[in-house]
Amino acid sequence: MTTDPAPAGPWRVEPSLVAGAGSALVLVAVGALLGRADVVLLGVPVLLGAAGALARRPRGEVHVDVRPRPGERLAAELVVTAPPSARALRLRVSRPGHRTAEALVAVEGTRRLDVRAASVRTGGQPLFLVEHQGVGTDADVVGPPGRREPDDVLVLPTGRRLGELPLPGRLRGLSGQHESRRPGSGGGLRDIHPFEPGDTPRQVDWKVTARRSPALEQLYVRRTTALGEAVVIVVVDSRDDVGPDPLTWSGTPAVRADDATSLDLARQAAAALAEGYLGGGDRVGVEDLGVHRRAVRSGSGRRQLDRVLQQLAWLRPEGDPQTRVRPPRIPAGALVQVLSTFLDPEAAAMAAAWHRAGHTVVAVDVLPRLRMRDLDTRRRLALRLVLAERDDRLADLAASGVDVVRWVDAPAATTRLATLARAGRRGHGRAGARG
Amino acid sequence: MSRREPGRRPPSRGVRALARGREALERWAHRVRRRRAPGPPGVVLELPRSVPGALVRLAPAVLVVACTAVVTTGGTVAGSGIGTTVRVLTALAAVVVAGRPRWPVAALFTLLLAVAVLAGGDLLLTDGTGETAGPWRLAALVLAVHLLHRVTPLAAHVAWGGRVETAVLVRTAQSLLRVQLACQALVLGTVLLRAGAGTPLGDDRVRAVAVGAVVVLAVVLHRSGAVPEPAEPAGAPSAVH
Repeated sequence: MTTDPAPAGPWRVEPSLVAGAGSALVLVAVGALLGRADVVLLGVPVLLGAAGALARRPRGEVHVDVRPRPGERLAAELVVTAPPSARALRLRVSRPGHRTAEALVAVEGTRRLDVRAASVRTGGQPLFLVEHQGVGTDADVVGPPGRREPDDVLVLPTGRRLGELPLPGRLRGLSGQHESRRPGSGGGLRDIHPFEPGDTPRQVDWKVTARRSPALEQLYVRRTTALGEAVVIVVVDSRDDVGPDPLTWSGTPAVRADDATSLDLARQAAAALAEGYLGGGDRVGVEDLGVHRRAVRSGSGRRQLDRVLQQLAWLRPEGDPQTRVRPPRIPAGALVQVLSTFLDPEAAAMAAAWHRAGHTVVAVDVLPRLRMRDLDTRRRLALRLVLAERDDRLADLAASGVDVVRWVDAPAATTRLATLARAGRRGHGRAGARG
Repeated sequence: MSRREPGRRPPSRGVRALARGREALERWAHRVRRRRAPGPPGVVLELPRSVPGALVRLAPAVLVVACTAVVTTGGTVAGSGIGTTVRVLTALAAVVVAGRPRWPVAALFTLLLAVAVLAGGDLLLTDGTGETAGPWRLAALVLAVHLLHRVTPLAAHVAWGGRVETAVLVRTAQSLLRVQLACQALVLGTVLLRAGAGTPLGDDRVRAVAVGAVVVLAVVLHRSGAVPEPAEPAGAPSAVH
């Protein structure tokens, strides 16, 4: 909750009151001089009203508190406190990407008002900027204008339910929910093998032993595969935050609140992937291509999901990013999901480098579906050049063995990820061939 | 001798003009498309009962027209030769007061009304001139002018796309009603006074009405707070800034 700094200055008389009272005085004077009582009577109510407004001039301050509603994304309660003689309050509530709400509300003492906004944007964002001005009884006396700067709120991304997900080439550890190729316990049948030191009598397959070695000179055991966990690193490219309208790419005008930007899509994709992998008992970490210091080391469990979501929500472009000399270090055998718009070559270069280093890499394209109808010929041509370069980049990535998923088409992305997962299970695909 | 390539030849003046025209047309089409596109979602301020701000913004213009209609109804203004001027200025005032309610249009328009009233017949006359609706017109005019001076400052605080809570309008109406009661009583008293002047019964009425008007005025001024309260003793806490 934040209280605005009290607006300074006394309540002032509007020029309309002075002008109205002046004209009424003229009417009374002229009517009296010319002996026209009807003209005098015209001015009397205006004079009386002005006298009343001056006499009931409010004194005191108007305070506005904005209390975010817990559990709701962009909703707050405005608590307005006005001096006793104030009768109304002029309110203007705004936030970027939304149309401003303006209202003249009655206020006597303390008043609570609900304000909300709908937005598909996630991450850190300002809540509501409230500008206010007290208004006296007859609207001829107004208080000093006040301004309550917006609080910053963090809107966490919410993922969507994904089906099967691709797995890295190598699983780690001896626990998890995925079967690895190594012998161990917990998985399905791996092979039938002669008894060796270290095998237990419970593993002996007596039927096979009887068939292969009727004289019992050799025992045979059933060996099972070990379980393992995948390590997935979600690499988000926070250097770009572009909306569907290319006219907003320069920063002005602002992106509409009902338009998800590339970073919103990246957050949503990363959250969905993290939920999916962590729900399957895997380890997930987050890397940011835009800023060197931010990273969530890989971990598992519910708390890790909270950490990942919090980290994703904090991602935002920060100035001119430094050029990376080498890609961020990734744990050996990890699956790398690179979420980027691929509008510049750096993310693609990183993905290719990881792929060359032996990681399984999936490039998730998070560029929103563009609205090109508002562009004039020159801008359209420029955009076509940029998109052609991007398409070449993605085609090169695909040719080098990196799987590409376009996230903006939700069902197609889910299907594509499931296809990659199945291909990996069969061992024919690139992503998910486990060892 | 160098031969000029056809592709390098600069475009002629006509081609350049055509290209500029095409670009201008594209820019215009672009602006139209953006204007027709649905606007972004708005911030929702939940108010229990409210009216659109456009209604309040239009109210002063309607009142300006109503005032002129009341003044010019009798035909005396038209007969005085300033009828057309009054109507033109009224139309101008209506447009300006709707667009710029902060400007002192209501005050200037009140002066214009006074000129029109002075140019016409006395609105307090009840007989002798063939005009019997004068007092009613005066009562209506007193109400309309007062309304205009109350609604215009209210409209100055309202945006076209904003909302005005009904409670604000009710409070404005209550404030207006108190003053109007006194003023209409004053009008009635003045009419009676003018009607009975010169006769013994009329003189008694004049005295009674005068006393009544003074009492009503005093009560209204006291209730409205126009008469200042005694000053607070020194040392008392104060919220004055």
